[in-house]
Amino acid sequence: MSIMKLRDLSFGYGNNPILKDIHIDLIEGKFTSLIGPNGSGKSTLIKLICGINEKNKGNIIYKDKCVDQMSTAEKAREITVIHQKEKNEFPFSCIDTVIMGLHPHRNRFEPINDEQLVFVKDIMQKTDTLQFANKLTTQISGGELQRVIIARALVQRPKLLLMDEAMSDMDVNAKIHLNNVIMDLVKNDNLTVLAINHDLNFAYKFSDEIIAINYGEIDSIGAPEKVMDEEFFERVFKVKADIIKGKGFFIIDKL
Amino acid sequence: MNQIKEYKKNKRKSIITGIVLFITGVVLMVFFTGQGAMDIDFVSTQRILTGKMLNLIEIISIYKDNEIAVVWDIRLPRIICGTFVGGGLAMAGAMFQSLLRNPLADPYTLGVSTGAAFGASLALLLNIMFALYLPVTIFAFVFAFITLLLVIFVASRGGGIYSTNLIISGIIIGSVLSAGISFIKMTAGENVAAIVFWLMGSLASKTWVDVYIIVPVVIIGGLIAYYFADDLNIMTAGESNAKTLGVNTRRIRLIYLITGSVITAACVSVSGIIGFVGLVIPHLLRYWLTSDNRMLIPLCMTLGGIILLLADNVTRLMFVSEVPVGVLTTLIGGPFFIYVFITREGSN
Repeated sequence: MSIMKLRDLSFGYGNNPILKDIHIDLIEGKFTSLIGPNGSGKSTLIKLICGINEKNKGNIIYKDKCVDQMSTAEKAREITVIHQKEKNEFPFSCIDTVIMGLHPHRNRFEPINDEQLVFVKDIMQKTDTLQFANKLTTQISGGELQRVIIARALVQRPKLLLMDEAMSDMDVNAKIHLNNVIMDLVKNDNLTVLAINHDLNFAYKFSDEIIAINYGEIDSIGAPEKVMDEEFFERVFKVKADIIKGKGFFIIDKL
Repeated sequence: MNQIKEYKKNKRKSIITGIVLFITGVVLMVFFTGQGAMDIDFVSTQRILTGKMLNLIEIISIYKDNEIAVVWDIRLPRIICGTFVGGGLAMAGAMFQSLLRNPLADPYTLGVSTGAAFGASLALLLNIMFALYLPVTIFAFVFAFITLLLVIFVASRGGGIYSTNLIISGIIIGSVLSAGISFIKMTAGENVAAIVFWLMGSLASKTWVDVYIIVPVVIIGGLIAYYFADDLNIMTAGESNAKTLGVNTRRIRLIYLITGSVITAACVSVSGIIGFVGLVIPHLLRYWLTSDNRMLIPLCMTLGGIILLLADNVTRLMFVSEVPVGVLTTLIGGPFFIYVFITREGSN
């Protein structure tokens, strides 16, 4: 079952095409990683899906519905995105930030009730952010802030979660922890994830499916162990890699 | 559960502070009506106020006409204007800071105030030159609104009404209008004093007409701002994050641009340019209590109102020749802001 279909999706600035005729079926209840070198069009693809960039051509269909025809609020109840950089100049507390995730699900004048607070607390516990819930977002580290933003996205209860290097500033322990939290949601709650990941070992270990993009076109789609072989690293990333079957790989040198 | 309890405690603290500030504000307003050059004792003041408010002629009939006039037509309008201008400026400041995602923004950043000042200067000049009686306040308000439309127009042509574009467009139009004001001042020649004094910002000789302008605008504007405060919170996380969280960013931005600007326009029209209230009060409350705009906007109304009310009555009661309150707020507000800025939590 595919939750989202991308059909003939193209985007570019003027005569400079960034994405060319992208055709993807995103499988429901799977963790899909989007990988590729810098400037290959990964972030652009995510931005097209969530409507920050206007596509030039093609269709984005979410559950038989054209994404263009969904309202911002309707979309926010189904799809959420964690962007690369989250910056807030104002000293909001972490818990206030996480509670913002409830926004698409509540009426304006309805106060936040205890049931919602328990849910928020539960997510913050899972994401290991409850300990600094009442600290200000301006006082915590970059990695901690990323955890808060992931907690906010999970509070939003999306069916489709898009992540654009959402864990780039986290330490390795936090990364594994958060990846496991998200994997649990994928397995138990049928969450679908499309994540851009520059940490290829993580993509390899945690993905059900890999989509590799190169020069704005899809290079390969498939299970990590099928897609990511030595020849793939040479072709797409121009590096030599040593594959340790079933575990990951060492990147050894440039070509 | 501790963290949730603490969260609730923090919210309660904000609400209680708001209530305390509100009561303080009302008490101060009543108190200051009894203070002034003419010696009218406290009980008499209260009787005049209640009598006038409830239209009970028998209560006030024992007082002299000039006593009633001083309390009801001179002190009270000034006190109400001071409170609502202060509250309005602080709320508008909070709105513009969040909207433009810039802690240094204030109600004057977009040049709306310069537009109001230009309109007022123009009306004053025409009144002097042609012995007319053009309404300065109305002129200021209309020019402030025209300025806002211009700023939005220029920003949208220059790539969209986003934070940076709005600020740049505001600076450009503000500079042109400043030059215009200088030109008007020069043209006014010897009569420049009236314009200079207006620009310095003062609440002296406010009438009920000013009250009828400022009070409805601040109350309605404040309610609109409060209604959408949840969305404003999310807007501070940036355009794309706000969209992700289901905020119709274009709509919210226009709502707050117009609401904040109309409040600013009304404040400046009534009292001239009073500095620092709009910048300092929201900051102070953010560091003291919360950034949550659902709390921050009502808190700004109460604290902003109290601060300007105090500042104005200090200038009214303590100085022999009255210092314009705009000068006083900036003189005291500036160093105080430096203190808050340096000692705030989380400063590096």
